[in-house]
Amino acid sequence: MNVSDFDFREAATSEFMNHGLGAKLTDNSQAIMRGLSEGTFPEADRWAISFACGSIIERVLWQASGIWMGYFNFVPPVTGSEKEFLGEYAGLLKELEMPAQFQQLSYQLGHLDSATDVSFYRETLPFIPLGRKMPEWFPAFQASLITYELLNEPAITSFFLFLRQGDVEQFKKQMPNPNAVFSHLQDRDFTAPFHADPERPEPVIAGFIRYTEFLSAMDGIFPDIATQSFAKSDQPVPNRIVDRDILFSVLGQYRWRFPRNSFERLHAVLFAFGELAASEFAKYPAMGIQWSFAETYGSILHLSQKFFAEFSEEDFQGEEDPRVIDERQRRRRAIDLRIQALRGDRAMGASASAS
Amino acid sequence: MAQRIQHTYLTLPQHGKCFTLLSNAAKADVKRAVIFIHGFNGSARSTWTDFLSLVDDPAASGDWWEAADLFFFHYQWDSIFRQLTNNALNIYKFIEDIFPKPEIIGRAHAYRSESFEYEELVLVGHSEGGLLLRKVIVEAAERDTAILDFMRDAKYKKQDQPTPEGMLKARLRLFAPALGGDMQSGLVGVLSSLPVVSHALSSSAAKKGMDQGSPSVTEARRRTDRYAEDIWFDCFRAHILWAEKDSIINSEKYTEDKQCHNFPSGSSHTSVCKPTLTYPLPLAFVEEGVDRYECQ
Repeated sequence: MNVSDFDFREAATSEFMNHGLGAKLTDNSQAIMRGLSEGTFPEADRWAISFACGSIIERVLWQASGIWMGYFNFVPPVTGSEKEFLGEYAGLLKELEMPAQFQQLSYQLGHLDSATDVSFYRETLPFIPLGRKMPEWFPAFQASLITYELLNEPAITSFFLFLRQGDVEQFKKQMPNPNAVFSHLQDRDFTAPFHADPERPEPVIAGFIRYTEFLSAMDGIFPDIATQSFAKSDQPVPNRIVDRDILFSVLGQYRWRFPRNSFERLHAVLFAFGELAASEFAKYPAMGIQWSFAETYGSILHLSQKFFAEFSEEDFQGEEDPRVIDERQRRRRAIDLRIQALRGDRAMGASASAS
Repeated sequence: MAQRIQHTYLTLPQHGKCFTLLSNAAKADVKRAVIFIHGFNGSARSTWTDFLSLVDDPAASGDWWEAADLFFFHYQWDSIFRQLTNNALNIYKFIEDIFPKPEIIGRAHAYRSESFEYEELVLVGHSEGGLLLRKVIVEAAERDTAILDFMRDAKYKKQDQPTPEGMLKARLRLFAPALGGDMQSGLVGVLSSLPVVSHALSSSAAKKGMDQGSPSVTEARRRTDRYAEDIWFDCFRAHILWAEKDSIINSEKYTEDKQCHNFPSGSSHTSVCKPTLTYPLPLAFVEEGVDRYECQ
């Protein structure tokens, strides 16, 4: 079978910037920037600013990682108006405890002349040097781009907003109305969460429901795979597994939505969700639903930690299984070997071009 | 292992959240369209992971996928059994816009020339998506005059089978299709079909509350069975893969359907259609149906 002569890289870049995840991140930041200039978020302007900055920086990091592996063509990191916005609010990101990388990038994108030029990536974003384009990474990277669009649904933003600013005591006092939760699941306006009454739990629970869907979808792309059998047979962990590990480790640009020290808030929403689900199932005794909340709870915490949060040991109140530690070390070694090999490709490429 | 010809993601802005993965193979090598329809509370983006990347992984899927363009339809998820007809008609138009000529990717004609046509069509549905596809096929059959003539005359004289045209050329691959009854709609339906909840439900749950007498359900069955009795088109004989622990739907096939004899171990209603690095069966099932050896 032959390969088509169309330039998929140009198509992929154009899709990302004009219709896909990149466009959504741009649209969301612009909607917030417009709202801010019109003074429409009087109660939530600081958080709105953090979401606008976060969306722009996340897009730049997606662009950078796509360019790095050869999936995207070069595109300028930010526009002039985005540069100005990031420059104005770079200081606030520190105050709002955005991740350190985002604070630094906000400052650099807001102040460096190269921020609107493709040279910015080379000068500012250190990636593992690769000797070649990595087409074997493209499908999983592309699948990630498609799936991460879910994070830009309006409803899910309510949940992330609560993790940043929610009042747990107030939240626990409210009984969620199931019909209102159902209605919020259909929100279509991205800025709606910034206008919502922060004391009402329904948009938060609706967002949490969308959040669990995102977690499950991502778990499909980056599933837990035990590699113990490879260790036993003395076989190397296959590249198709290791490559996903490498991708997973470099695709952390979406994590800014989930603030540090938000375990208590996550816990409050998880339990409110559990109570709501139990009471809904109880309304339909004929369905005979038997549900293990503990299983759902464990699954959500596991996936939350895997894809978003770095919970502390106190959060989990338990020691890590030695087999898990063993697995992590084996994967780490496999990643190091693969990266070494890719660097070797680079060295070979350099010597070939020198000769 | 040799690098596989890959697919390129394109959105379909005229169709909301629907999207496509177009094969990077040369136009002459692309043979088929595979169209995915998600179920209740699903979405084009979340239901089918990780078909999105594993179709390009030679260790997970066959070369068959290199010659396939993939289309993922998205519809309003709160619809179950309320907007069934509307959604079925929207899907009908979506399929018509793809097969045999992919008009739907209009702006992307650099990939598929004006004269390009697919030879094959595979329709893939999960849960409510399975029922919707059955309704779509019935609709297509009712609009086909050759079939109408054949059915009318079949009572009185022996005649040659009609030739399938348009979407009636389709093969159907259904994952845990909601053919046997209505599940609950509303918030309780959303909750029970969430992947993180679905796998934690007991196997007896939900089924008791189904309304098996809903006209939407019974009519699709009655009409498909009627067509399947007289006409030997693949589209009236779906291949079905049920989940091992399904708390959401009744596992009742139509008369002429073929079902996989083995349940994927540990699969739930929501996970049965989601291939992963360690569960590639859904890819093989779409390609080969129940002829796949795991199903025998």
